[in-house]
Amino acid sequence: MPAYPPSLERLIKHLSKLPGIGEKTAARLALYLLRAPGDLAESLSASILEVRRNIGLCSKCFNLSDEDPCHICTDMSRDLGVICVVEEVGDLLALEKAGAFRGRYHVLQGVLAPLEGVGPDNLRIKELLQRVQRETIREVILAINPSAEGEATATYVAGLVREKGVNVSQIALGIPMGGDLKYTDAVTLRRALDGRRESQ
Amino acid sequence: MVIRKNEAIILRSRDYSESDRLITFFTKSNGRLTGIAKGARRSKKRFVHSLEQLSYVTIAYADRSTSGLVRIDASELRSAFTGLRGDLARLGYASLSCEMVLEISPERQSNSALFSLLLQYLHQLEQGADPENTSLLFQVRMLSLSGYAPNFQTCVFCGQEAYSGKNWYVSIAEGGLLCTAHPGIHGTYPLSVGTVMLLRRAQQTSLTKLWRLRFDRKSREGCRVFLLDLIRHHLEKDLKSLKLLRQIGALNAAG
Ligand SMILES: [Zn+2]
Ligand SMILES: [Zn+2]
Repeated sequence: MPAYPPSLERLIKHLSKLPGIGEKTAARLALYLLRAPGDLAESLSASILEVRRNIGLCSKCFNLSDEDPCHICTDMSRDLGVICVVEEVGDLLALEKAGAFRGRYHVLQGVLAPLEGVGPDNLRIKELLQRVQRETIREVILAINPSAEGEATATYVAGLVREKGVNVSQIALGIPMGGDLKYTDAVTLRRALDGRRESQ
Repeated sequence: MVIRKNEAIILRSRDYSESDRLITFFTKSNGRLTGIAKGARRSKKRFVHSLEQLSYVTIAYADRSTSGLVRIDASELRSAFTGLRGDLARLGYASLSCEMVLEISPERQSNSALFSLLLQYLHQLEQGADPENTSLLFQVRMLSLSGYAPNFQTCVFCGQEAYSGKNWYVSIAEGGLLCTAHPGIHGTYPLSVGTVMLLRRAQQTSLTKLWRLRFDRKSREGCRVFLLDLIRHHLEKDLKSLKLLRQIGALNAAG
């Protein structure tokens, strides 16, 4: 016999489907929403619906956006000749927060993962090549995470972009700020040495 | 709780929770195991890329029972096979073999010959061996080492020796060769006598000599589909890695 009225029980069931939320937390959240002051419940449900209705992918760069093309793609003050290729929207946001890049992006929507059945056709690689061909692009910067799959993806994409006659570069890998050589693993150290540059 | 240290190849590495990863690995002396690496997502330091798929490692794990998940305590990289990352076809074939071993090997059943085969195969691929040829040799040998070797010696119906006659058929349902005297058997694959001999050698020769065997273009066409169908028949499922190989055109004729 359920302890709560059926409608409350339903809300708990829905909330517990969210990532990281168990049955207990879901019950706590549901009870809180029930008694929450003001119009929290109304505005919460309205913004969930709004996000679902309005947010989609930018048809150019595949960033999350509520307009198409997204605000980055339409920003004419940015460098239109450089595309930075990332795995996911989260990576794009991290680069934007750092404020170090003034070109535009291309979100692949993942990396090649043979064991998960993800091949080139399942990523936005074709679309990247079309952009490289249609727009006047000087350089494509690959900012893909250095996992095994990420590296395989970067090498694959680099080859295809180069075939179109466009320069490809890859972000440097090495010792993080505040890091310590003594505690850095051998592979990273080797990469850091390979990626050294003339000191300024 | 038993603490073990073992040579292993990482077959699959997946996110498990906010901070943990679920790792399936094939050990030299204890077969296939799955375990949780606590904190492997967040504190990358503890397992610095020694738990990525295809890595050859020395792994330490705590095992409390004879079934279920183990707890991975440490992993030290012996080889990451980084040479495979630069070539999608090679990476695809390497993943295909890992997936085959993952699916065909029973949990916790030691098979050190299969371990050596997989390890040598990954070395061969990294060192530039023809990926499809190497993969076909791997598949034939893996089937033998897993107890699924088809009979490539004699006709399963009349016992005719395989080195006589010109054309042969092989049947998955009958588990081996058929000579031309038995027409009308359903679901057979034609193989030339040369291909049959090659498959036999791939089953029997020593592991070091295995990689010298060569499938020519014609025998590849015959074996490619047959071996994949045979493996699918035993696993009772499709292999996901084939999708990428098909997309990059590495498996043109395969079904
Ligand atoms: Zn955009
Ligand atoms: Zn016969």
